Amino acid sequence: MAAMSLHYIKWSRGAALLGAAVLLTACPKINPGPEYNPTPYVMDYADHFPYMELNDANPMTEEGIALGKALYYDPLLHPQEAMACASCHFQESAFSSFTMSGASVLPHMNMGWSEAYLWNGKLEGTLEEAMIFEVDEFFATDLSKLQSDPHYPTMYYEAFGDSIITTDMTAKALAQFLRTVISDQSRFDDHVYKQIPSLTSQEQVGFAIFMSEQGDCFHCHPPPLFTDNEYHNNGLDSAFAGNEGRYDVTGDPMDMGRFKTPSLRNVELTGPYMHDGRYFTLEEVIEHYHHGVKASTTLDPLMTKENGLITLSLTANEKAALVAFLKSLTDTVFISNPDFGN
Amino acid sequence: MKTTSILLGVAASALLASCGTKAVPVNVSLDYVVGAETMEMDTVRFTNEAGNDFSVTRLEYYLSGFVLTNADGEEIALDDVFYVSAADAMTSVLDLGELEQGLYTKLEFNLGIVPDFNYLDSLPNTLEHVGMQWPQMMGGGLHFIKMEGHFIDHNGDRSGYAVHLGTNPTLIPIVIDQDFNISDGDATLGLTMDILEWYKNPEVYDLNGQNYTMGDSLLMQKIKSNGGDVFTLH
Repeated sequence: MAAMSLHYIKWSRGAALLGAAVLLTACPKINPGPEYNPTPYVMDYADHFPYMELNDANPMTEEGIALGKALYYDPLLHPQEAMACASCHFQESAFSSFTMSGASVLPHMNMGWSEAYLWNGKLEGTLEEAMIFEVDEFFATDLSKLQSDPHYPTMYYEAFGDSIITTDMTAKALAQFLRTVISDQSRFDDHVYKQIPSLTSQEQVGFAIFMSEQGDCFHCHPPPLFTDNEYHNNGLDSAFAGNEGRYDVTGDPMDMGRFKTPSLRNVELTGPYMHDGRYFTLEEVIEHYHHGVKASTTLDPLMTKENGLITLSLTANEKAALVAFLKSLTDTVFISNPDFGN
Repeated sequence: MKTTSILLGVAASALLASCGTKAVPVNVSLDYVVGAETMEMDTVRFTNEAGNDFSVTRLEYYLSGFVLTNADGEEIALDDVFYVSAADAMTSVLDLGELEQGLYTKLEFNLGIVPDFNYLDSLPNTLEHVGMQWPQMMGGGLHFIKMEGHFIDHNGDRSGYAVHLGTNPTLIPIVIDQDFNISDGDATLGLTMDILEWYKNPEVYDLNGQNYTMGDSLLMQKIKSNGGDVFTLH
């Protein structure tokens, strides 16, 4: 019996070696490129931006970012090759897109400072976890298509030291790329943080309204990110059928009608506005906050101003100044940066 | 043998004496009540002195300028600035560092940020601090406290309130004249904030017509005057 076992082990080892040899022959993309030696990437963003938490389990590398960018633009992520991430997230629209579908597309921008994604925060956690959802569920990517591509196995090897493509590596690469997609070079940044006079007097008036109790925009949209990354009911509706928002995730009635605060960076380019894209212009948005807020049980307390009023008091010129200021947040460097473009 | 005993006795005394001054890590643990009840966020079921039924949806604030006075009258001052969010348990334990064991007679600190540190760049550039910035054009620095929620107004309608304090004149000194011990086995100081105290003593604060403190220094001073006794030590 002992002898038989020994024999079996020897045979098994032999079979394993043979199998490995066959695998190596059949799958020439294992270790196909140069030695695995990824180049560490040092995050580069404005000093006035908050510290970005990185994921130790997914160190940023030049190769990982390059792979993530290639995947972002590649319809191969889709089983029928019908769409890529970039099909709905256009660089010229700050990685958002104009849609009439009744749903507004949140821009892929400055995502490295967020831990919750989508309007209702359905995806929470790291960017890697969010990208696993995108690969596995949103696209339902057929990894064998990437595996049989002439370039990807080598790119995966260079990025992660393994050319056998997995969801995990795909998500990590996308997460790395998205962490680099940073908008921090608007005229507002020049003016306020670099002391380079760049805002017109009208835009400065708008900024003052934005940052004061007159407009009271800054509590939910604090600079420099112009989002607090939280959920608010900003008074769009008094009843919420079809617009439950955060409630859909938590089941908490007090989350009814609460949605994630979008960043206002590049807001000029990211319409239509609100979670359902109900407003097509910034003027409509300002008018909403001016006299359009609707009372409800979950209306954010910050929407109630002095003496219980849910209105603002802005002149036509002040509203125009606010709009002008919001347009100063457009980052022309960002929307033309070849590091992010296809 | 006798000499040995004496030496041992001296050594033991020395050890005991040194044990009395040994430093231990000290924490402050924060919790919240509304009168006799534990505070629960986001539910309108509490009533303040003015009779307003109210909830708390947000409670963020800073504590700074801790000073502990020991039994010898010596004051130990700490530079730390602590950000606290009642919704985030991770922020509700404050690390005061290592302090000598023994009896203390007084605990002082400020609700808000002492002037030396009341500017955004004095703190690590993190999301929570950025979210607490007080606009430069309104005096600059950081919000000392954001306390928000809903209340039932005099018409019986649900309304919102936002009690925010900021800028140096609204810094709230807290002085707790009370003995407490710090020892190896008991190095956590419990601080409880009673939300009801914000709305009474000396000012009975009615949220009707006073729901929004920002830009109103009179309302901010009323809240400040009520804030000195919101904490108890246990």
